[in-house]
Amino acid sequence: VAAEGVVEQKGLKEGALGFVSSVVIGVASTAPGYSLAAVLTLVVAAVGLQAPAVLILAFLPMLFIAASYYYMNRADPDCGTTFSWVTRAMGPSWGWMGGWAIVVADVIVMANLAQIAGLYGFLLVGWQSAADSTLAVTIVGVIWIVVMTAICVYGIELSARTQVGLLGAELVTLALFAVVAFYKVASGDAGAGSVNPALSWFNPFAISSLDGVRDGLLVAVFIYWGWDSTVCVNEETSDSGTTPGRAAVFSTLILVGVYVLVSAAAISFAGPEAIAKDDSGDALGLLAHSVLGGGWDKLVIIAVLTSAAASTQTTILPTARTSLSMARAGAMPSILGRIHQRFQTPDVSTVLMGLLSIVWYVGLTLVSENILFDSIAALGLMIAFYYGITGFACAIYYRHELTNSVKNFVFVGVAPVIGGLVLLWLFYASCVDLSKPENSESGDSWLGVGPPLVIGIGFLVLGVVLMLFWRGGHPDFFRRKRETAEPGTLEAPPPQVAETAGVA
Amino acid sequence: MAASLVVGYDGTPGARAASDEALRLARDLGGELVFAYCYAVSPVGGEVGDLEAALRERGTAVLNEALAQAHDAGIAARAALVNDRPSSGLVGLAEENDARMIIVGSYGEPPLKGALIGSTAHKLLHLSERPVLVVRA
Repeated sequence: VAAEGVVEQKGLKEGALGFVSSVVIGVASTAPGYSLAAVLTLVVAAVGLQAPAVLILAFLPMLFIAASYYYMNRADPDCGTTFSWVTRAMGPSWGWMGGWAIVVADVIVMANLAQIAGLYGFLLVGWQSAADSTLAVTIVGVIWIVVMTAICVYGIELSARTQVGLLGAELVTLALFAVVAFYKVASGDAGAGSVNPALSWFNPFAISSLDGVRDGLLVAVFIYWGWDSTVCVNEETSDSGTTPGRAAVFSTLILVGVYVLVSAAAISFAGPEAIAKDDSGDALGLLAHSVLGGGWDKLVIIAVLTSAAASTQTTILPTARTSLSMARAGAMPSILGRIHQRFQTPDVSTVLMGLLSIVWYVGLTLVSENILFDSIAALGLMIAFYYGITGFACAIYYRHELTNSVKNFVFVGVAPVIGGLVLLWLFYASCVDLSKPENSESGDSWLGVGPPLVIGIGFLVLGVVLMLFWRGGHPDFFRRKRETAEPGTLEAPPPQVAETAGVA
Repeated sequence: MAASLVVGYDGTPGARAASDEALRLARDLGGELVFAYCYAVSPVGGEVGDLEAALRERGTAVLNEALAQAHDAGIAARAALVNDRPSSGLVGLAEENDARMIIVGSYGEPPLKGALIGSTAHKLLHLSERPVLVVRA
């Protein structure tokens, strides 16, 4: 009897995701609860009463970049990251730097996530003295990274239903916080600093300074970071009349709504000065205590923690897969492309990311007291860099298709380029601003400039050095030629996911 | 012709134990073996394409290994690369092939650990309507 060879087949479950799952992935990846906990102070310090307006305004460049993700995904489906797209459109060197920026952004954000997890973990059990201890918070933060890394290596996943439940609880809790805060302001129970909400808070044109816009945007690229994942998952489009991308639109509305509502409620309840001055790192948790009180504030803390957990997972998984992609393309050592036999996950990549994150987190904590704030500015630089080049890559890749229709020109050309330009400006203006140490949140000075700039630029320069080093010994990847889109790619229907299994 | 036996096979020691037992059973009972390598990549992690490609490569390699072993033993065998979670993939494949039973390996780890990190053998015991044979590595 001869071996017949291997037959490929789809499983019984469909590959495509339904509407609800797509929305959940998008919103949970963006992690509104954790994002708010991390940036509430920063954004209020930057623009005061106009915080809600900046959060609305800041969404526009992200929307434009999301268009580039959407259209690049049409050309190269299922490869939801900058590395492969930028390599195609702009060549291997830019692609390499894009992939590097993703990896670095991951390592940086892990420090922040770990810190939030430590702080809010202690708040949850009501142990304030531990929350004030850098050592205690750092220990819990490191344990957090270890556990989350292990979860990603083992490939443990929550069921879809559990994810919907957790996210629903998170959103309901944040809404509850906002409603109660507004109610207490209206009834006069909100304390001395409270301000009645005004429509001008939501008007982007009422923001007085460009500096405020710049700082607000730098923070906002962070809070909307992860939203792009909705655009890249193949949403189920089998029933006609539905458009792919409707999950992306819906999750956007949820995010913008939550950010605007909660920031407005917080400002209204405590007043902008009190929030801007907070240096505890857990302003949202403390506010929740005054707003909800009576143990109900624990709900907000739990929401932040589940959100941070989801965010940690949606940070580790794509990054490990990006380094796997890079390893398979010959752009990084092949060991990073190894897959665990039993768990079927890129274990070497994942563990390495975890180790780097711990080294970075502990190292930064030893050096700087105020890592929460400064790391987010550095992270904003990194995200602006790789989102920005993805925007340009889209227009470059489709450059021969842009004149086919007005729609192509506007959505595939103009929008991504505008997004790219805004992020380029943001990157440049923030670098100039951060070059003055007094403008960093910690007020520290490293090498005569602010820590976020040293971190951001330092990592990019390190990336260039590593790339040149790698290129020396492994020139194959760097010989890859730039490509343009196949004619008609944009006119073809979006990639459909096959129906169910055929028999082997 | 006697019914087939579906064997979960990922090339690990547990899978080899399952495959060895399946070869003996096929010899005694007659019937054909269907080796299956199941893989499912979470869409939460983005960048699905390359990880799936890597898993398909690995799956093809280990399945060919299993087919060669069956060939050497003179047992009729097929192999399937199934894009699904192992538990539901094996159950589905067993239904399709009207299999007599599903054979998988186990690592002999404590049940609590299996529950935490996910044990295919454990899930199959509850999900499969067909008999399941678990072979300890």
